Amino acid sequence: MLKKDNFEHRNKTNQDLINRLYFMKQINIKWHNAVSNVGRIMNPRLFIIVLCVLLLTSFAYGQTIKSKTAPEFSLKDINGNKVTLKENYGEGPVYISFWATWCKPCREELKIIQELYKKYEECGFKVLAVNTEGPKASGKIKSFVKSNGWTFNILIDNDGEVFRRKYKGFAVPYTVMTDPEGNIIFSTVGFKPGDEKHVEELILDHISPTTCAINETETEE
Amino acid sequence: MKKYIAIFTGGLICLLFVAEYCPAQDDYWSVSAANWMQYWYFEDSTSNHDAREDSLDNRFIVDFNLGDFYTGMWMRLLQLNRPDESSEKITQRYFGWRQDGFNIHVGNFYQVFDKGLTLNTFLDDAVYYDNNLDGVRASGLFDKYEFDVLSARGIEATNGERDYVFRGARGAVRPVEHTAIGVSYVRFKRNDFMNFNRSLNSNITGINSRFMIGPIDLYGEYAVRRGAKPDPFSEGNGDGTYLSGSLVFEKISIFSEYKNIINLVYPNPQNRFNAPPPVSHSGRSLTDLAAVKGERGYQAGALLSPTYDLNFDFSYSEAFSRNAPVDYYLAEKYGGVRWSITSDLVINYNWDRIDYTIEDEIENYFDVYYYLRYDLTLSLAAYTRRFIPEGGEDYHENYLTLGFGLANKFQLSLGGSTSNRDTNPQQDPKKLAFAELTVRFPNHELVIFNGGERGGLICSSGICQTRPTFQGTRIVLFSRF
Repeated sequence: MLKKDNFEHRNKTNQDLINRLYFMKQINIKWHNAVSNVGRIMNPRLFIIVLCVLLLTSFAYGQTIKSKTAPEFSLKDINGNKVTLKENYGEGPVYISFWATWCKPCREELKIIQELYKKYEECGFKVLAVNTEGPKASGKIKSFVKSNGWTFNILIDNDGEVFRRKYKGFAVPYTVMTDPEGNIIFSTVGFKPGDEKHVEELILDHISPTTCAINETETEE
Repeated sequence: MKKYIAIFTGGLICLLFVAEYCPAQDDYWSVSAANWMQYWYFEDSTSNHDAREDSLDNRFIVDFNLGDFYTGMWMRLLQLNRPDESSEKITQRYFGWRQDGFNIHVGNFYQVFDKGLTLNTFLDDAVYYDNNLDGVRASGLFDKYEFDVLSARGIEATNGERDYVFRGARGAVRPVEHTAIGVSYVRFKRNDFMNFNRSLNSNITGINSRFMIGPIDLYGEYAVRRGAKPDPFSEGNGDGTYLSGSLVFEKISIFSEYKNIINLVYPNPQNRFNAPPPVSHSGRSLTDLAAVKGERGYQAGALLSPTYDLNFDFSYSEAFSRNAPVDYYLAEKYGGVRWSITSDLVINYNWDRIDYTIEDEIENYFDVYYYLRYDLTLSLAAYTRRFIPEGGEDYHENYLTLGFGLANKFQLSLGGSTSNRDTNPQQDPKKLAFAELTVRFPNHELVIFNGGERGGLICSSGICQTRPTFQGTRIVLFSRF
C-alpha cells in the first residue's frame, strides 16, 4: 500500500512537472516568436542603412551630451573605504576614468591626468579612476598605482555593474567628466594624446576663480 | 514586413529625437542610451570553400531613471548569415531602487563575492564571456559594513537555458581600523539528469579577511564546497584558498599571490560561476586551459619607479594541476619598461615568456609615441610572438603598426603581420596587411577596418579562446545618447 501511494505520488509529481515545463515552454516559444519577428525581416544591410541614415542625422545636429547627470554610484577604494560620486561634487569638475592594468593607453592617460590633478587639486578638481578588472587584478593593483605615482582616488568596480550597466562602457579607457553639479561635460572612449588640452580647458572653465588663484596665474603664463 | 520596419524605424527616430532635441532629463528623471554596432564582410576562414559573407552584431542599451528608481534593458541583434546562429532578443532587463548605499535590483545582474571563490559572474568582451544572473538582489554598502543577498538563475552553457539556481549572501565588517572580515555563502542547485525528480545541491561557504597597515596589505580567503556529486566521475566536495600580499614603498612595490583549489569551481571548469583570480600576468589559468578540477599556483612581482618617468615591471608565476590524469604546468616570466624620455617621446617595451605543457610562447613588444604637436601624434608598435609546440615545429609571427592621430578627431593606423606558417594558408596566411580609421564625433565613434587580422589565443579573466584569422572589412559604430 505504501509503495503504491509512493508510486502514485511520484507519478502525479512527474505529471505536474511535465505540465509546468510544457506551459513554460509555450510561453517561451510565444515570447521568442514575438521578438524574433522584428529581426527576421531586418537583414543586416537594411539594418545598417536605416541606422546609418539616423545616425548621420544625429551627427549633423548632435552636440556633446550636455545637461545629463552622471549616474550616481558607490564603490570601494583600494583601501576598502566607501566612496560615492555625489560626495565629490561641489568644489570643481570631476574626472571619472574607467581603466585596467593591462591597458597601455589607460596608463598614458592617467599619467597625464595625474599632472593635471597635481596642478588643479587645490582648485577642487577631483579624479576617480575606476578599475574595471574585478578580482583578477586585485593582487597587483596597489603596487601598480603606487609605482605610477597616482595620488588620486582609485576605485574598484568588482563586478562591472558601474562600468557596464550604469555607464554603458564597452571598452577602456572610457572617460566621463562632470561639472561641479554632476552634469556631464565631456566623455570619450579611447583617450588619445592631446585630449588633455581639451580636459584642461574644461577644468579652467569649471573651477571657481575666487577659490583658485592658480587659475589666473597659470592662464597668464 | 513593412509594418515591422516602420515600427523599428519609428522607434529609433523617436529615440534619437528625444536624445538630441529634448533635454533628456529634468531634476527628477533622465533617459540615456548607447548603441554598439559591428558589421563584418569577410572571408570565412573556418570553412574549406572560398566563401565571403557578412554579419552584424548590434547591442543597444537604454536606461530610464526616475528619482531613486531605475529601469533598463539590453537588446542584441545578431545576424550571422546562418539562420540557426542568428538571434534577436532582449538579453537583459532590470529595474530597481537605490538610496544611500542601499539597492534592491530585480532582473539581470553581475555579482562577485569578494575575490570570486564562492561566486564570480561578469561580462568580458575580450573572450565573449557572459555568465550574468537573473533574479533578485539586495545590497548595501556603508562605511563600516556591507552585504549582498541574492536569489537568481544562471545559464546552462550547453542549452542556453537558465537551469541553474543560486541562493547566496555575503557580508563584511570593519570592526577596527585597518581590518576587515567577511563571510559568504552560495547554494547552487542544478537538475540531476539521471533522475528527473532529484536536484543536485552544492553549498559553498567562504571566509575572508584583510589587514592593512602602512605599506602592508594582506588578504586571505578560504572556501569550502560540499554537496552531491554531479556525476559518478566527479567529486562533490572540494575547497580553495586565495592569498595576496603587497608591500608598497616610495620607489618600489612588491606583490604576491597564491591560489590552491580542488573541485571548487562549479558546474565545470570551463563554464563556471566561481573561480579565484588567475594569478598570472597574462590572465591564464590551468582551470580553463586544461579543464582541470584543481590547481596550485603563485605569482610574485615587483614594480620599480626610480623616477616618475621611468617604470619597471617584473613578475613570475607558476601553476601546477592537481589530481589530473595528466600533469599540467604553466609558468610565466614577464618584464616591462615604460620610459617617458622627453615630454614628447614615450616608449614601452615588454618581454613575456609562457611555458605551458602543450606549447610555449615568447612575446617581445615595443611601442613608441611621439608628439608632433600637442594634439598630433605619431606612434609605432612592433612585436613578435614565437610559439614552441610540444613535439612540433616552432613558428613565429611578426607585427608592425604605424599610427597617426589627431586627438579628439581621428586616428589612422596602417599595419601588417607576417608568419612563417604554411600549414593552412587560408586560416593562417603568411602575410596580412590592414588599414584602420577611427573618426570621433562628440557622441559617436566610427571605426573602419579593412585587411587582415591574425587570429590566435586570446586570454582574459582566466579564460582563453582561440580566434580565427579575420580577412575582410569591419565597421564599428559606437554611439551614446
